[in-house]
Amino acid sequence: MSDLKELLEGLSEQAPRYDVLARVHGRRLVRLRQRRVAGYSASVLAVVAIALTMLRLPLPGEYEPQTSPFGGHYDGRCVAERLDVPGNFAGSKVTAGDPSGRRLAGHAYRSDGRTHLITWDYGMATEIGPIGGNAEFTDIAESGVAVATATADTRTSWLHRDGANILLAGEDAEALAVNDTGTVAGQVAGRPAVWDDPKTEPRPLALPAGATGRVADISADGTVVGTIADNTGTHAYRWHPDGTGEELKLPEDIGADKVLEVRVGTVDGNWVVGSVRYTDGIQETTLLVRWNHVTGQKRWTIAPAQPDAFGGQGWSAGIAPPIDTPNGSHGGHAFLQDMGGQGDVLSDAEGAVTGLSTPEITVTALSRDGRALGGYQTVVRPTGGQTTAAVRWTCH
Amino acid sequence: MDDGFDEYVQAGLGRWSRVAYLLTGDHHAAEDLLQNALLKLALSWRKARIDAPDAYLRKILYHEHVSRWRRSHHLRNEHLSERMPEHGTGHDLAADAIRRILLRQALEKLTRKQRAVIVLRYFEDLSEPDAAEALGVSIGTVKSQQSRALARLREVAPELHVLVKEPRGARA
Repeated sequence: MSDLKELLEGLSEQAPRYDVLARVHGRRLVRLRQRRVAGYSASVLAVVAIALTMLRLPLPGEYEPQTSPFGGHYDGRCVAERLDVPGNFAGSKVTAGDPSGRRLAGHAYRSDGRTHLITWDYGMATEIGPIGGNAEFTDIAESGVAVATATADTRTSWLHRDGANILLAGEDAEALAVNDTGTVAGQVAGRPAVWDDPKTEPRPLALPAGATGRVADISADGTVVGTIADNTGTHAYRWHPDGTGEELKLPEDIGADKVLEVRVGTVDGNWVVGSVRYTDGIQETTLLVRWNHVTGQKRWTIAPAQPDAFGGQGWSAGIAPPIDTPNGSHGGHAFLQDMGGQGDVLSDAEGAVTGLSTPEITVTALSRDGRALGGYQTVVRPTGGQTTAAVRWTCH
Repeated sequence: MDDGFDEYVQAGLGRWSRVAYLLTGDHHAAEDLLQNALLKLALSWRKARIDAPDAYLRKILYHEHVSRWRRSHHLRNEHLSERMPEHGTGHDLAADAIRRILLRQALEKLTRKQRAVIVLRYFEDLSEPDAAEALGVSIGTVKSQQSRALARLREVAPELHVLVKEPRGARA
Protein backbone atom coordinates (compact mmCIF):
# COMPACT_ATOMS: atom_id res chain seq x y z
CA MET A 1 0.00 0.00 0.00
CA SER A 2 1.85 3.01 -1.16
CA ASP A 3 -0.28 6.05 -1.63
CA LEU A 4 -2.92 8.10 0.05
CA LYS A 5 -5.73 6.83 -2.14
CA GLU A 6 -4.99 3.25 -1.22
CA LEU A 7 -4.73 4.12 2.44
CA LEU A 8 -8.10 5.88 2.27
CA GLU A 9 -9.62 2.91 0.52
CA GLY A 10 -8.26 0.67 3.22
CA LEU A 11 -9.67 2.88 5.93
CA SER A 12 -13.03 3.10 4.19
CA GLU A 13 -13.33 -0.68 4.25
CA GLN A 14 -13.95 -0.39 7.98
CA ALA A 15 -17.30 1.19 7.14
CA PRO A 16 -20.17 -1.28 6.93
CA ARG A 17 -23.01 -0.67 4.55
CA TYR A 18 -25.21 1.71 6.56
CA ASP A 19 -28.73 0.42 5.91
CA VAL A 20 -30.49 3.69 6.42
CA LEU A 21 -33.07 3.43 3.64
CA ALA A 22 -35.95 2.34 5.89
CA ARG A 23 -35.25 5.19 8.30
CA VAL A 24 -35.03 7.65 5.42
CA HIS A 25 -38.49 6.57 4.29
CA GLY A 26 -39.77 6.75 7.85
CA ARG A 27 -38.49 10.27 8.33
CA ARG A 28 -39.78 11.29 4.91
CA LEU A 29 -43.26 10.09 5.82
CA VAL A 30 -43.06 11.98 9.11
CA ARG A 31 -42.09 15.13 7.23
CA LEU A 32 -44.98 14.71 4.84
CA ARG A 33 -47.35 14.03 7.71
CA GLN A 34 -46.12 17.07 9.57
CA ARG A 35 -46.76 19.16 6.52
CA ARG A 36 -50.18 17.82 5.70
CA VAL A 37 -51.95 16.57 8.78
CA ALA A 38 -53.85 19.11 10.83
CA GLY A 39 -53.74 18.69 14.58
CA TYR A 40 -50.19 17.41 14.87
CA SER A 41 -49.28 20.24 17.18
CA ALA A 42 -50.20 23.83 17.69
CA SER A 43 -46.66 24.88 16.92
CA VAL A 44 -46.44 23.11 13.61
CA LEU A 45 -49.91 24.29 12.72
CA ALA A 46 -48.93 27.85 13.40
CA VAL A 47 -46.13 27.63 10.91
CA VAL A 48 -48.28 25.76 8.42
CA ALA A 49 -50.95 28.40 8.80
CA ILE A 50 -48.49 31.12 7.96
CA ALA A 51 -47.31 29.47 4.79
CA LEU A 52 -50.78 28.62 3.65
CA THR A 53 -51.92 32.16 4.34
CA MET A 54 -49.00 33.51 2.37
CA LEU A 55 -49.89 31.22 -0.48
CA ARG A 56 -53.57 32.23 -0.21
CA LEU A 57 -54.69 28.69 0.44
CA PRO A 58 -57.41 27.60 2.87
CA LEU A 59 -56.25 27.02 6.42
CA PRO A 60 -56.52 23.50 7.85
CA GLY A 61 -60.03 23.01 9.21
CA GLU A 62 -58.96 22.27 12.76
CA TYR A 63 -56.70 25.22 13.14
CA GLU A 64 -57.80 27.71 15.76
CA PRO A 65 -56.05 31.01 16.39
CA GLN A 66 -54.31 30.96 19.75
CA THR A 67 -54.40 33.51 22.49
CA SER A 68 -50.80 34.53 22.80
CA PRO A 69 -48.50 37.52 22.87
CA PHE A 70 -48.95 37.48 19.14
CA GLY A 71 -52.70 37.02 19.33
CA GLY A 72 -52.64 34.28 16.74
CA HIS A 73 -52.10 36.90 14.04
CA TYR A 74 -48.90 35.96 12.37
CA ASP A 75 -48.47 39.13 10.45
CA GLY A 76 -44.78 39.69 10.60
CA ARG A 77 -44.36 41.40 13.96
CA CYS A 78 -40.68 40.57 13.77
CA VAL A 79 -39.38 43.17 11.37
CA ALA A 80 -36.14 42.57 9.50
CA GLU A 81 -33.51 45.23 9.07
CA ARG A 82 -30.27 44.84 7.16
CA LEU A 83 -27.41 45.98 9.33
CA ASP A 84 -25.04 48.68 8.14
CA VAL A 85 -21.56 47.49 7.32
CA PRO A 86 -18.71 50.00 7.03
CA GLY A 87 -16.67 50.01 3.83
CA ASN A 88 -17.13 48.04 0.67
CA PHE A 89 -17.63 44.38 1.41
CA ALA A 90 -18.86 41.40 -0.54
CA GLY A 91 -21.12 40.17 2.23
CA SER A 92 -21.72 40.11 5.95
CA LYS A 93 -23.06 37.90 8.74
CA VAL A 94 -24.16 38.13 12.35
CA THR A 95 -22.72 35.17 14.25
CA ALA A 96 -23.47 36.07 17.89
CA GLY A 97 -25.58 38.33 20.06
CA ASP A 98 -25.75 39.38 23.70
CA PRO A 99 -28.64 38.31 25.97
CA SER A 100 -30.13 41.82 26.09
CA GLY A 101 -30.44 42.09 22.33
CA ARG A 102 -28.52 45.37 22.28
CA ARG A 103 -25.28 44.02 20.86
CA LEU A 104 -24.62 41.82 17.86
CA ALA A 105 -21.28 40.53 16.62
CA GLY A 106 -20.32 39.22 13.21
CA HIS A 107 -18.14 39.94 10.26
CA ALA A 108 -17.98 41.17 6.71
CA TYR A 109 -15.81 39.65 4.06
CA ARG A 110 -14.12 40.91 0.96
CA SER A 111 -14.21 39.07 -2.32
CA ASP A 112 -10.74 37.69 -1.50
CA GLY A 113 -12.29 35.85 1.43
CA ARG A 114 -10.72 37.88 4.27
CA THR A 115 -13.07 38.49 7.13
CA HIS A 116 -13.28 41.73 9.09
CA LEU A 117 -14.88 41.44 12.50
CA ILE A 118 -17.68 43.85 13.32
CA THR A 119 -19.78 44.57 16.37
CA TRP A 120 -23.11 46.40 16.33
CA ASP A 121 -24.40 48.39 19.29
CA TYR A 122 -28.07 49.30 18.84
CA GLY A 123 -27.42 48.64 15.14
CA MET A 124 -24.43 50.99 14.90
CA ALA A 125 -21.43 49.20 13.44
CA THR A 126 -17.86 49.27 14.74
CA GLU A 127 -15.23 47.55 12.64
CA ILE A 128 -12.70 45.53 14.63
CA GLY A 129 -10.83 44.43 11.50
CA PRO A 130 -9.21 41.10 10.66
CA ILE A 131 -7.54 39.62 13.73
CA GLY A 132 -6.22 36.37 12.34
CA GLY A 133 -7.17 33.71 9.84
CA ASN A 134 -10.87 33.44 9.23
CA ALA A 135 -11.79 34.44 12.78
CA GLU A 136 -15.48 34.71 13.60
CA PHE A 137 -17.16 35.93 16.74
CA THR A 138 -18.71 33.10 18.72
CA ASP A 139 -20.22 35.10 21.60
CA ILE A 140 -20.66 38.61 22.95
CA ALA A 141 -21.73 39.59 26.47
CA GLU A 142 -23.91 42.47 27.59
CA SER A 143 -20.83 44.43 28.67
CA GLY A 144 -19.47 44.24 25.12
CA VAL A 145 -16.68 41.76 25.84
CA ALA A 146 -16.61 39.16 23.06
CA VAL A 147 -14.75 36.06 21.91
CA ALA A 148 -13.68 35.04 18.41
CA THR A 149 -12.24 31.82 17.02
CA ALA A 150 -10.32 31.08 13.85
CA THR A 151 -10.50 27.52 12.58
CA ALA A 152 -7.80 27.39 9.92
CA ASP A 153 -5.30 24.61 10.58
CA THR A 154 -5.64 24.58 14.34
CA ARG A 155 -8.10 26.59 16.35
CA THR A 156 -6.98 29.92 17.76
CA SER A 157 -9.14 32.20 19.87
CA TRP A 158 -9.16 35.76 21.13
CA LEU A 159 -10.89 37.74 23.84
CA HIS A 160 -12.03 41.13 22.55
CA ARG A 161 -12.20 43.61 25.43
CA ASP A 162 -11.86 47.40 25.61
CA GLY A 163 -10.80 47.59 21.99
CA ALA A 164 -7.98 45.06 22.39
CA ASN A 165 -7.78 41.51 21.06
CA ILE A 166 -6.06 39.19 23.51
CA LEU A 167 -4.87 35.78 22.34
CA LEU A 168 -6.17 33.01 24.57
CA ALA A 169 -3.56 30.72 26.10
CA GLY A 170 -3.53 27.05 25.16
CA GLU A 171 -3.04 25.05 22.00
CA ASP A 172 -6.10 24.29 19.84
CA ALA A 173 -8.17 26.78 21.83
CA GLU A 174 -11.79 27.24 20.80
CA ALA A 175 -13.62 29.97 22.69
CA LEU A 176 -17.37 29.44 22.59
CA ALA A 177 -18.84 31.66 25.30
CA VAL A 178 -17.94 34.63 27.48
CA ASN A 179 -19.63 36.35 30.41
CA ASP A 180 -19.65 40.01 31.39
CA THR A 181 -16.51 39.73 33.48
CA GLY A 182 -14.52 38.17 30.64
CA THR A 183 -14.45 34.59 31.88
CA VAL A 184 -14.33 32.42 28.77
CA ALA A 185 -15.67 28.89 28.27
CA GLY A 186 -14.79 26.67 25.36
CA GLN A 187 -12.72 23.70 24.28
CA VAL A 188 -9.01 23.04 24.48
CA ALA A 189 -7.90 20.19 22.24
CA GLY A 190 -11.54 19.22 22.12
CA ARG A 191 -12.09 19.11 25.89
CA PRO A 192 -14.31 21.54 27.85
CA ALA A 193 -12.33 24.23 29.66
CA VAL A 194 -12.58 27.67 31.23
CA TRP A 195 -10.19 30.62 30.99
CA ASP A 196 -10.36 32.70 34.16
CA ASP A 197 -7.69 34.90 32.60
CA PRO A 198 -7.00 34.92 28.86
CA LYS A 199 -3.23 34.83 29.34
CA THR A 200 -3.08 31.89 31.71
CA GLU A 201 -3.62 28.27 30.80
CA PRO A 202 -7.29 27.23 30.88
CA ARG A 203 -8.53 24.87 33.56
CA PRO A 204 -10.33 21.73 32.35
CA LEU A 205 -13.93 21.03 33.30
CA ALA A 206 -14.53 17.61 34.81
CA LEU A 207 -16.09 14.89 32.69
CA PRO A 208 -17.51 11.53 33.72
CA ALA A 209 -15.18 8.64 32.88
CA GLY A 210 -15.29 7.82 29.18
CA ALA A 211 -17.36 10.87 28.24
CA THR A 212 -16.66 13.72 25.87
CA GLY A 213 -18.17 17.14 26.31
CA ARG A 214 -18.92 20.38 24.55
CA VAL A 215 -19.49 23.79 26.08
CA ALA A 216 -22.45 25.98 25.12
CA ASP A 217 -22.62 28.99 27.41
CA ILE A 218 -21.35 30.51 30.64
CA SER A 219 -23.37 32.53 33.16
CA ALA A 220 -22.38 35.55 35.20
CA ASP A 221 -21.36 33.38 38.18
CA GLY A 222 -19.22 31.04 36.07
CA THR A 223 -21.74 28.22 35.69
CA VAL A 224 -21.08 26.51 32.36
CA VAL A 225 -23.66 24.51 30.40
CA GLY A 226 -23.31 22.20 27.44
CA THR A 227 -23.61 18.56 26.54
CA ILE A 228 -21.67 15.41 27.24
CA ALA A 229 -21.70 12.21 25.23
CA ASP A 230 -20.92 8.70 26.42
CA ASN A 231 -21.79 5.21 25.29
CA THR A 232 -25.37 5.64 26.54
CA GLY A 233 -26.02 8.74 24.44
CA THR A 234 -25.90 12.51 24.72
CA HIS A 235 -26.93 14.40 27.84
CA ALA A 236 -27.52 18.03 28.76
CA TYR A 237 -24.93 18.99 31.35
CA ARG A 238 -24.13 21.73 33.84
CA TRP A 239 -20.70 22.49 35.34
CA HIS A 240 -20.47 24.39 38.62
CA PRO A 241 -18.04 27.32 38.86
CA ASP A 242 -15.59 24.94 40.58
CA GLY A 243 -15.49 22.74 37.47
CA THR A 244 -17.49 19.78 38.76
CA GLY A 245 -20.76 18.98 37.06
CA GLU A 246 -23.86 16.89 36.66
CA GLU A 247 -26.47 15.96 34.12
CA LEU A 248 -29.64 17.95 33.47
CA LYS A 249 -32.43 15.39 33.32
CA LEU A 250 -34.58 15.16 30.21
CA PRO A 251 -38.37 15.70 30.34
CA GLU A 252 -40.27 12.65 31.59
CA ASP A 253 -42.43 12.73 28.44
CA ILE A 254 -39.57 11.18 26.54
CA GLY A 255 -39.66 8.05 28.69
CA ALA A 256 -38.13 5.11 26.92
CA ASP A 257 -38.24 6.74 23.50
CA LYS A 258 -35.00 7.01 21.60
CA VAL A 259 -33.28 10.36 21.97
CA LEU A 260 -31.81 11.43 18.64
CA GLU A 261 -30.24 14.77 19.43
CA VAL A 262 -29.75 17.08 22.40
CA ARG A 263 -28.90 20.76 22.10
CA VAL A 264 -28.12 23.15 24.91
CA GLY A 265 -28.15 26.79 23.89
CA THR A 266 -27.91 29.24 26.76
CA VAL A 267 -27.79 29.75 30.52
CA ASP A 268 -29.32 32.89 31.98
CA GLY A 269 -29.33 33.15 35.76
CA ASN A 270 -30.68 29.87 37.07
CA TRP A 271 -32.26 28.83 33.79
CA VAL A 272 -30.84 26.74 30.98
CA VAL A 273 -32.58 26.52 27.60
CA GLY A 274 -32.12 23.78 25.02
CA SER A 275 -33.97 21.21 22.98
CA VAL A 276 -34.32 17.47 22.52
CA ARG A 277 -35.30 15.55 19.41
CA TYR A 278 -36.58 12.02 19.95
CA THR A 279 -38.61 9.33 18.26
CA ASP A 280 -41.10 6.72 19.37
CA GLY A 281 -40.19 4.65 16.33
CA ILE A 282 -42.93 6.14 14.19
CA GLN A 283 -42.76 9.86 14.58
CA GLU A 284 -40.07 12.32 15.56
CA THR A 285 -40.79 15.06 18.04
CA THR A 286 -38.71 18.04 19.12
CA LEU A 287 -39.14 19.57 22.56
CA LEU A 288 -38.00 23.02 23.62
CA VAL A 289 -36.81 22.58 27.22
CA ARG A 290 -36.07 25.02 30.03
CA TRP A 291 -34.24 23.71 33.10
CA ASN A 292 -33.72 25.43 36.43
CA HIS A 293 -30.26 24.17 37.23
CA VAL A 294 -30.60 25.10 40.91
CA THR A 295 -33.97 23.56 41.76
CA GLY A 296 -34.06 20.87 39.08
CA GLN A 297 -37.42 22.16 37.81
CA LYS A 298 -37.98 21.87 34.07
CA ARG A 299 -40.57 22.90 31.51
CA TRP A 300 -40.99 21.86 27.93
CA THR A 301 -43.14 22.38 24.88
CA ILE A 302 -43.27 21.02 21.34
CA ALA A 303 -41.17 22.92 18.81
CA PRO A 304 -41.64 22.91 15.02
CA ALA A 305 -38.01 21.88 14.49
CA GLN A 306 -34.67 21.85 16.26
CA PRO A 307 -33.97 25.49 17.13
CA ASP A 308 -30.74 27.14 16.04
CA ALA A 309 -30.77 29.91 18.66
CA PHE A 310 -32.10 30.14 22.22
CA GLY A 311 -33.18 32.97 24.54
CA GLY A 312 -32.76 32.66 28.30
CA GLN A 313 -36.41 33.22 29.17
CA GLY A 314 -37.42 30.20 27.13
CA TRP A 315 -37.35 31.44 23.56
CA SER A 316 -36.13 29.60 20.51
CA ALA A 317 -35.66 30.33 16.84
CA GLY A 318 -34.84 28.16 13.86
CA ILE A 319 -36.00 26.98 10.47
CA ALA A 320 -39.30 25.12 10.19
CA PRO A 321 -39.59 22.21 7.75
CA PRO A 322 -40.60 23.11 4.19
CA ILE A 323 -44.29 22.77 3.45
CA ASP A 324 -45.76 20.91 0.49
CA THR A 325 -48.55 22.72 -1.31
CA PRO A 326 -50.24 22.21 -4.69
CA ASN A 327 -47.87 24.87 -5.98
CA GLY A 328 -44.78 23.02 -4.84
CA SER A 329 -42.68 22.82 -1.73
CA HIS A 330 -42.44 26.12 0.04
CA GLY A 331 -39.12 26.80 1.68
CA GLY A 332 -38.68 26.54 5.42
CA HIS A 333 -39.60 29.67 7.32
CA ALA A 334 -37.60 31.07 10.17
CA PHE A 335 -39.69 30.70 13.30
CA LEU A 336 -39.63 32.27 16.73
CA GLN A 337 -41.33 30.43 19.58
CA ASP A 338 -41.67 30.71 23.35
CA MET A 339 -42.35 28.14 26.04
CA GLY A 340 -46.07 28.65 25.61
CA GLY A 341 -45.81 27.31 22.08
CA GLN A 342 -46.61 30.74 20.68
CA GLY A 343 -44.52 32.52 18.15
CA ASP A 344 -44.11 34.24 14.88
CA VAL A 345 -42.47 33.85 11.51
CA LEU A 346 -39.59 36.18 10.75
CA SER A 347 -40.07 38.52 7.84
CA ASP A 348 -37.55 38.72 5.02
CA ALA A 349 -34.96 41.45 4.82
CA GLU A 350 -35.03 43.95 1.98
CA GLY A 351 -33.68 42.42 -1.22
CA ALA A 352 -33.94 38.88 0.15
CA VAL A 353 -33.89 35.91 -2.18
CA THR A 354 -36.98 33.89 -1.35
CA GLY A 355 -36.54 30.57 -3.09
CA LEU A 356 -38.42 27.33 -2.84
CA SER A 357 -37.34 24.45 -0.64
CA THR A 358 -34.08 25.95 0.64
CA PRO A 359 -34.11 28.10 3.76
CA GLU A 360 -32.49 31.41 2.97
CA ILE A 361 -32.41 32.67 6.55
CA THR A 362 -29.99 31.64 9.27
CA VAL A 363 -30.69 32.75 12.84
CA THR A 364 -27.61 32.88 15.06
CA ALA A 365 -28.60 35.12 17.98
CA LEU A 366 -31.70 35.52 20.12
CA SER A 367 -32.14 37.80 23.12
CA ARG A 368 -33.38 36.44 26.44
CA ASP A 369 -36.80 38.09 25.97
CA GLY A 370 -37.28 36.96 22.38
CA ARG A 371 -37.55 40.50 21.05
CA ALA A 372 -34.25 40.79 19.20
CA LEU A 373 -32.68 38.31 16.81
CA GLY A 374 -29.62 38.34 14.63
CA GLY A 375 -28.47 36.29 11.70
CA TYR A 376 -28.09 36.57 7.97
CA GLN A 377 -30.04 36.10 4.80
CA THR A 378 -29.26 35.55 1.15
CA VAL A 379 -29.90 38.76 -0.74
CA VAL A 380 -29.59 40.03 -4.29
CA ARG A 381 -26.42 42.00 -4.84
CA PRO A 382 -26.99 45.35 -6.63
CA THR A 383 -24.21 44.54 -9.07
CA GLY A 384 -25.69 41.14 -9.84
CA GLY A 385 -25.56 37.75 -8.24
CA GLN A 386 -26.29 36.94 -4.62
CA THR A 387 -24.55 37.41 -1.32
CA THR A 388 -25.29 37.17 2.39
CA ALA A 389 -26.31 40.17 4.45
CA ALA A 390 -26.23 40.65 8.22
CA VAL A 391 -29.78 41.04 9.50
CA ARG A 392 -31.38 42.09 12.78
CA TRP A 393 -35.00 41.29 13.57
CA THR A 394 -36.92 43.31 16.11
CA CYS A 395 -40.19 41.88 17.43
CA HIS A 396 -42.89 44.20 18.75
CA MET B 1 -41.27 5.46 -3.40
CA ASP B 2 -41.57 3.58 -6.66
CA ASP B 3 -39.71 5.91 -8.97
CA GLY B 4 -36.25 4.46 -8.88
CA PHE B 5 -35.14 6.07 -5.64
CA ASP B 6 -34.74 2.82 -3.73
CA GLU B 7 -32.87 1.19 -6.58
CA TYR B 8 -30.58 4.16 -6.89
CA VAL B 9 -29.81 4.20 -3.17
CA GLN B 10 -29.32 0.45 -2.86
CA ALA B 11 -26.92 0.41 -5.78
CA GLY B 12 -24.65 3.06 -4.29
CA LEU B 13 -25.16 2.56 -0.57
CA GLY B 14 -21.88 0.80 0.03
CA ARG B 15 -19.83 3.50 -1.68
CA TRP B 16 -21.68 6.37 -0.01
CA SER B 17 -21.30 4.63 3.35
CA ARG B 18 -17.55 4.61 2.87
CA VAL B 19 -17.49 8.28 1.87
CA ALA B 20 -19.55 9.24 4.93
CA TYR B 21 -17.25 7.23 7.18
CA LEU B 22 -14.13 8.87 5.75
CA LEU B 23 -15.69 12.30 6.25
CA THR B 24 -16.65 11.73 9.87
CA GLY B 25 -14.33 9.02 11.15
CA ASP B 26 -17.14 7.68 13.30
CA HIS B 27 -19.71 5.03 12.40
CA HIS B 28 -22.67 6.67 14.07
CA ALA B 29 -21.88 10.14 12.80
CA ALA B 30 -21.40 8.66 9.33
CA GLU B 31 -24.73 6.88 9.50
CA ASP B 32 -26.45 10.04 10.61
CA LEU B 33 -24.75 12.13 7.91
CA LEU B 34 -25.76 9.67 5.21
CA GLN B 35 -29.30 9.40 6.52
CA ASN B 36 -29.74 13.19 6.54
CA ALA B 37 -28.32 13.53 3.04
CA LEU B 38 -30.52 10.76 1.64
CA LEU B 39 -33.58 12.27 3.32
CA LYS B 40 -32.93 15.55 1.55
CA LEU B 41 -32.45 13.69 -1.70
CA ALA B 42 -35.71 11.78 -1.14
CA LEU B 43 -37.65 14.97 -0.46
CA SER B 44 -36.56 16.49 -3.74
CA TRP B 45 -36.34 13.29 -5.81
CA ARG B 46 -39.56 13.63 -7.77
CA LYS B 47 -39.77 17.32 -8.38
CA ALA B 48 -36.11 17.92 -9.01
CA ARG B 49 -35.89 15.68 -12.11
CA ILE B 50 -32.35 14.97 -11.15
CA ASP B 51 -30.21 14.23 -14.17
CA ALA B 52 -27.02 13.46 -12.28
CA PRO B 53 -28.08 12.05 -8.91
CA ASP B 54 -24.53 11.18 -7.89
CA ALA B 55 -23.37 14.77 -8.23
CA TYR B 56 -26.54 16.00 -6.54
CA LEU B 57 -26.21 13.63 -3.59
CA ARG B 58 -22.52 14.36 -3.31
CA LYS B 59 -23.26 18.06 -3.05
CA ILE B 60 -25.87 17.47 -0.34
CA LEU B 61 -23.59 15.13 1.58
CA TYR B 62 -20.55 17.39 1.57
CA HIS B 63 -22.60 20.49 2.24
CA GLU B 64 -24.27 18.77 5.19
CA HIS B 65 -20.86 17.72 6.48
CA VAL B 66 -19.21 21.13 6.16
CA SER B 67 -22.24 23.17 7.21
CA ARG B 68 -22.42 21.28 10.49
CA TRP B 69 -18.99 22.65 11.15
CA ARG B 70 -20.14 26.14 10.24
CA ARG B 71 -23.30 25.90 12.29
CA SER B 72 -21.35 24.80 15.32
CA HIS B 73 -20.36 28.41 15.92
CA HIS B 74 -23.86 29.32 16.93
CA LEU B 75 -25.44 25.97 17.68
CA ARG B 76 -22.47 25.23 19.85
CA ASN B 77 -23.88 21.94 21.01
CA GLU B 78 -24.93 19.17 18.82
CA HIS B 79 -24.17 15.66 19.92
CA LEU B 80 -26.00 12.74 18.53
CA SER B 81 -26.93 10.07 20.95
CA GLU B 82 -26.28 6.37 20.80
CA ARG B 83 -22.58 6.71 20.16
CA MET B 84 -21.02 3.35 20.87
CA PRO B 85 -17.34 2.68 21.35
CA GLU B 86 -15.73 1.64 18.13
CA HIS B 87 -14.21 -1.77 17.89
CA GLY B 88 -10.96 -2.75 16.29
CA THR B 89 -10.95 -5.25 13.52
CA GLY B 90 -8.95 -7.75 15.51
CA HIS B 91 -6.21 -8.12 12.94
CA ASP B 92 -4.62 -4.71 13.04
CA LEU B 93 -1.11 -5.89 13.45
CA ALA B 94 -0.29 -5.76 9.79
CA ALA B 95 1.66 -2.73 8.67
CA ASP B 96 -1.15 -1.58 6.41
CA ALA B 97 -3.56 -1.61 9.30
CA ILE B 98 -1.17 0.40 11.41
CA ARG B 99 -0.82 2.92 8.64
CA ARG B 100 -4.60 3.14 8.40
CA ILE B 101 -4.81 3.85 12.11
CA LEU B 102 -2.17 6.54 11.74
CA LEU B 103 -4.08 8.00 8.82
CA ARG B 104 -7.31 7.97 10.75
CA GLN B 105 -5.71 9.80 13.65
CA ALA B 106 -4.10 12.26 11.27
CA LEU B 107 -7.41 12.96 9.51
CA GLU B 108 -8.88 13.95 12.85
CA LYS B 109 -6.41 16.83 12.96
CA LEU B 110 -7.85 18.37 9.80
CA THR B 111 -10.68 20.85 9.59
CA ARG B 112 -13.87 19.49 8.10
CA LYS B 113 -13.34 21.33 4.86
CA GLN B 114 -9.77 20.08 4.53
CA ARG B 115 -10.92 16.57 5.24
CA ALA B 116 -13.67 16.89 2.66
CA VAL B 117 -11.16 18.02 0.03
CA ILE B 118 -8.90 15.06 0.79
CA VAL B 119 -11.79 12.61 0.44
CA LEU B 120 -13.04 14.22 -2.75
CA ARG B 121 -9.65 14.39 -4.42
CA TYR B 122 -7.95 11.24 -3.22
CA PHE B 123 -10.75 8.80 -2.47
CA GLU B 124 -13.43 9.85 -4.90
CA ASP B 125 -10.77 10.76 -7.46
CA LEU B 126 -12.52 13.96 -8.46
CA SER B 127 -10.85 16.71 -10.44
CA GLU B 128 -10.33 20.10 -8.81
CA PRO B 129 -13.27 21.67 -10.70
CA ASP B 130 -15.55 18.77 -9.73
CA ALA B 131 -14.41 18.96 -6.10
CA ALA B 132 -15.04 22.71 -6.13
CA GLU B 133 -18.52 22.10 -7.55
CA ALA B 134 -19.31 19.53 -4.87
CA LEU B 135 -18.21 21.84 -2.08
CA GLY B 136 -19.66 24.99 -3.60
CA VAL B 137 -16.31 26.78 -3.41
CA SER B 138 -13.78 28.10 -5.91
CA ILE B 139 -11.09 25.96 -7.47
CA GLY B 140 -8.55 28.15 -5.69
CA THR B 141 -10.11 27.22 -2.36
CA VAL B 142 -9.87 23.54 -3.21
CA LYS B 143 -6.20 23.98 -4.09
CA SER B 144 -5.37 25.90 -0.95
CA GLN B 145 -7.34 23.55 1.31
CA GLN B 146 -5.69 20.55 -0.29
CA SER B 147 -2.26 22.08 0.14
CA ARG B 148 -2.89 22.89 3.79
CA ALA B 149 -4.39 19.49 4.43
CA LEU B 150 -1.41 17.66 2.96
CA ALA B 151 0.99 19.86 4.89
CA ARG B 152 -0.93 19.14 8.06
CA LEU B 153 -0.95 15.41 7.39
CA ARG B 154 2.80 15.45 6.78
CA GLU B 155 3.26 17.36 10.02
CA VAL B 156 1.11 15.18 12.26
CA ALA B 157 1.92 11.86 10.61
CA PRO B 158 5.47 11.99 9.28
CA GLU B 159 5.48 8.19 9.24
CA LEU B 160 3.08 8.37 6.31
CA HIS B 161 5.66 9.80 3.98
CA VAL B 162 3.63 8.62 1.03
CA LEU B 163 1.16 11.43 1.61
CA VAL B 164 3.31 13.91 -0.23
CA LYS B 165 2.17 12.51 -3.55
CA GLU B 166 -0.26 14.53 -5.65
CA PRO B 167 -3.42 12.89 -7.00
CA ARG B 168 -2.84 10.78 -10.05
CA GLY B 169 -2.77 12.61 -13.35
CA ALA B 170 -2.57 16.07 -11.77
CA ARG B 171 -6.17 16.72 -12.74
CA ALA B 172 -7.00 20.39 -12.68
